[in-house]
Amino acid sequence: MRQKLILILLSFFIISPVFAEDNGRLSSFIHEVEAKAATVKTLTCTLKQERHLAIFARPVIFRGRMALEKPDKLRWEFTSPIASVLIFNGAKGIKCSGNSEPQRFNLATDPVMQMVSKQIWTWVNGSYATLQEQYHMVLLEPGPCLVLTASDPKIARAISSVKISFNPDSLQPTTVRIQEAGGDHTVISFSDFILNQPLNQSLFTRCSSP
Amino acid sequence: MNTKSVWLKWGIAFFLAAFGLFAARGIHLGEDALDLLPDSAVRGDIQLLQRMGLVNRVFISLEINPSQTTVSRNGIEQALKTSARQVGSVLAENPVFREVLYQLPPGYEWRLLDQLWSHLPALLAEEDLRWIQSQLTTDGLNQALTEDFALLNSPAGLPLKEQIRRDPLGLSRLLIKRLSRLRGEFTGQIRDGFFFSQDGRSCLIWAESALPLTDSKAAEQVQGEVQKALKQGLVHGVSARIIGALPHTLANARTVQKDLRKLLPLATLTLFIFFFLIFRDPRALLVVGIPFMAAPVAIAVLRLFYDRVSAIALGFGIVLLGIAVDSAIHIYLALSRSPGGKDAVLKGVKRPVILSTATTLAVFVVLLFSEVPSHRQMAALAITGVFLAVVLAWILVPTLAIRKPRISKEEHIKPGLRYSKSKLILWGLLLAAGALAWPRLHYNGNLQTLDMITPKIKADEAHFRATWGPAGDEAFVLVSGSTLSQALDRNDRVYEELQHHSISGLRSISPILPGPCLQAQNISNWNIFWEKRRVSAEKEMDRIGTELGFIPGAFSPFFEWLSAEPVILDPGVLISGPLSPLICSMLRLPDKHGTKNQDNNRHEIVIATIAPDIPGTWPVLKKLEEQIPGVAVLSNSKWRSSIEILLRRDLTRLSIAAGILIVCLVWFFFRRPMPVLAALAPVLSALSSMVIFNYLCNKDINLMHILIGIMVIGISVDYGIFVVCAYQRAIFKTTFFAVSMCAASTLSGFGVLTLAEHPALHILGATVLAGIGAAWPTALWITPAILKLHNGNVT
Repeated sequence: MRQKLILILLSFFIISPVFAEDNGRLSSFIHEVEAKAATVKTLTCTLKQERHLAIFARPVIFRGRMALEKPDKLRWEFTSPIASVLIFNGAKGIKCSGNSEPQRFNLATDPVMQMVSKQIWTWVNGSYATLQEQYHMVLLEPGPCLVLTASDPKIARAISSVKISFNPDSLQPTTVRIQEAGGDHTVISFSDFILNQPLNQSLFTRCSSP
Repeated sequence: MNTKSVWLKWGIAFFLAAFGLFAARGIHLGEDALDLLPDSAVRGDIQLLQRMGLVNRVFISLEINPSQTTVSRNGIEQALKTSARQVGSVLAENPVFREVLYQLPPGYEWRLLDQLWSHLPALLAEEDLRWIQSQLTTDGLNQALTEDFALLNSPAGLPLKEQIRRDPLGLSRLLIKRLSRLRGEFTGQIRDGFFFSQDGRSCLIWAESALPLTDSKAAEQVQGEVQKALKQGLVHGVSARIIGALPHTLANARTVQKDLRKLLPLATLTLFIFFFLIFRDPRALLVVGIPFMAAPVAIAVLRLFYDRVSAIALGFGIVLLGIAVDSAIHIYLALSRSPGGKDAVLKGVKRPVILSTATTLAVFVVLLFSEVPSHRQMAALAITGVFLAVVLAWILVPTLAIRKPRISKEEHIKPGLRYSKSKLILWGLLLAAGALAWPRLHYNGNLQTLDMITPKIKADEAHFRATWGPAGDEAFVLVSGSTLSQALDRNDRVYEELQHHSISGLRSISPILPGPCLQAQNISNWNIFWEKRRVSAEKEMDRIGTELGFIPGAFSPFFEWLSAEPVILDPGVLISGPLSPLICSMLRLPDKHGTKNQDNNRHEIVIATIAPDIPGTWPVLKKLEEQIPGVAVLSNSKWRSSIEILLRRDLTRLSIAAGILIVCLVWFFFRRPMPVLAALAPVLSALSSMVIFNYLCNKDINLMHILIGIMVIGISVDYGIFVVCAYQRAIFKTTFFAVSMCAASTLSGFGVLTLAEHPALHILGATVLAGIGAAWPTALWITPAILKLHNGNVT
């Protein structure tokens, strides 16, 4: 019993500095990512989304572009295989799918879009510090790469983990892998970043590309 | 008169007054504005609204001060949310409020959809099934599943995956559309459960007061509690506007109090200075005070007939006792100025005093038949009070009068009156103008004309409408039933009828909580619909889905749900669900809160449907009352028209009754047409003058005019009676002086009311001024001229 207690105490003193060191590196990494993200006012990039769902016969790959202007304008556009656009502009938004009429929505009154916007803005804004309240985070290196595990059981029931890989130089997220509880997963890859270039405002006001 | 007898008389009078005070102690005074409303037309309706909690609802619109321009949108939202949460929770803990709604519970949307999803077949109507039918065509399915596929691959796909499998056709949209019926023309939006305006700069809280907000004392208490909560809960930069019955009740009560505080001393002072200057004898002031000694006894008698007395009726009834002051002045002046022995003078004045008292009592007896409860209480008080006041004046005034006749017998015998054709012509013109103006007057049933609407209330209400809607008036269709099922079934019929007439902007619980009959019907239609289509729809969806990239059976949860037996929605699910406060604001279970109702139907369930109160909807709403049992339609336009009908009926009925009674009484005393006409001449002038005055002002007659008309008839007929009696007894000078004293005192007393801020008091003052202002010169010039004419003819 006594030996067991000593072992526990030893393990505590030995392991704690390691945790502390990890936490320190995580904090400084998040700080770095946030600092880099703060310098970005506008951003465009291409994106590729792979959806591996049990109800799909095969993985579905969607390609498109993303445009962002801080603080609150975002365009998420798929060009193939089905064209669709999702725009957030302040508290309002537009969604278009195929040839159907654009649907305008208000974030305040559309709980689904509110949830979607919160998630997207979190990834693209680089505001990971706020996520630490909802997710347990681990920094994996080299990569660098952040693995988030939901601490809220409600979220955990839907998303078991989120893995975000960063470009080591620009610290922009290059891949986000969302692992769902039932085994379904989605991988979104971002590339061809163009930072801080003036953007055509019609990107955020209508579905058709300028 | 010996001193002992004088002391005895005063002793008895004081004993009576003291006894009256003792008997009247503890009288239950009500300060409820409902007492001013007619029984049949509006009162019952307002009580129904009170049962629904609609009258007692306080709306608090929180808003960011316009000066806060530098605060970010997020900052504004947070400030409003914090304020709403803090103020709302303080109010919710206060027992003065029963339902306080400031935030819907988190996740209420999902919970609600989950709760209602299994009951969808019971909710969807035939038009919804037609829409589903359009979705089940190959094109429709193709489009729906393509949208699902795109949605699953969009950023929104993650949270919606299970929802899409369960509802690939988007049937939940039909549910959301039905839920939007709870919103009606309310233009706000819900953010995190808080009620925000479209511009995001205002946030709404509403609370139902447990105390009646039409009662001024209760309103003061509620206002105090609201202010306390605002002080505790509002964060810097956020202010509040309070909307509803509360600010109206407070503004009316406070304005009346302010007016009375300012005007009563002014009127009293004017009267005292006036009497003192004329009589130069302090005892004359006692003469004016004697009739008011009858007040305590009158109040005590009133208490025998009424459990609760309206404070307004009490205050106004005591003012009506002032009519008896006229008799006291006549007795006093006759005794102190007329030549002859005291007994002879008293004998001479006895006849006009009896006649004038009889006519005054007669008009108040007529007022007992008014539809307005406070009018009846005033009449009851005035009948006892005036009678007692005249008796007291008859007994006590002789003890005060010092006989020093100032006018010689010759002067009395030579009245010095000339028959003046021009005056009669002018009088004729006045009557003709009155007769011409009368049909042009509009019976105004709008209660707001008597409502004190301060600029702040006006601005707050305009701002509230602009922020939250609706833009116009609203009508409430209340259905009641002895059981919840019966009430819900009736409510469905109301909603169906309104829908049938394409009335938009409806707010109803029927779309999400139909009655058992409609639910059973919907389920039956649903079963028949899917029985024929289910198998083919499943095959077709599998085929199209597979082409798009779904696996076969991707939507099996939807078809499993379709196979399950549809379940009737138990009202309890919604009543206790996340939208409970909204549902309960439109559905009132019997005396849930132990509400004190004055109607007999407190065990009934009442459900409200709210529709725009515009000319286009009114005929449909009116029909509902006839078509569906247990339906009551309450709206401003209905009240307006009901009060207009009532005004027309009451004015005609009461005026004719008062007229017949007065003519009969005057005929009984004078027995000849010309003296009767002479006695009634001041009444005719007063009525004509009031009609012309109203015609020139706003061409309106409202509820207040019934009371004023009756009162002015009662006062002005006395002038005519005294002058005719005086003419018959050749004691003109004293009577003329007495009539002038009475008129001048009435004019000064009521004249100050024209300075009142409150519209009802102002109307009262101005109309009495116009009426008595014409009756006075008529009594002095026209009555004698008619008598002279009559006398000449007789000669």
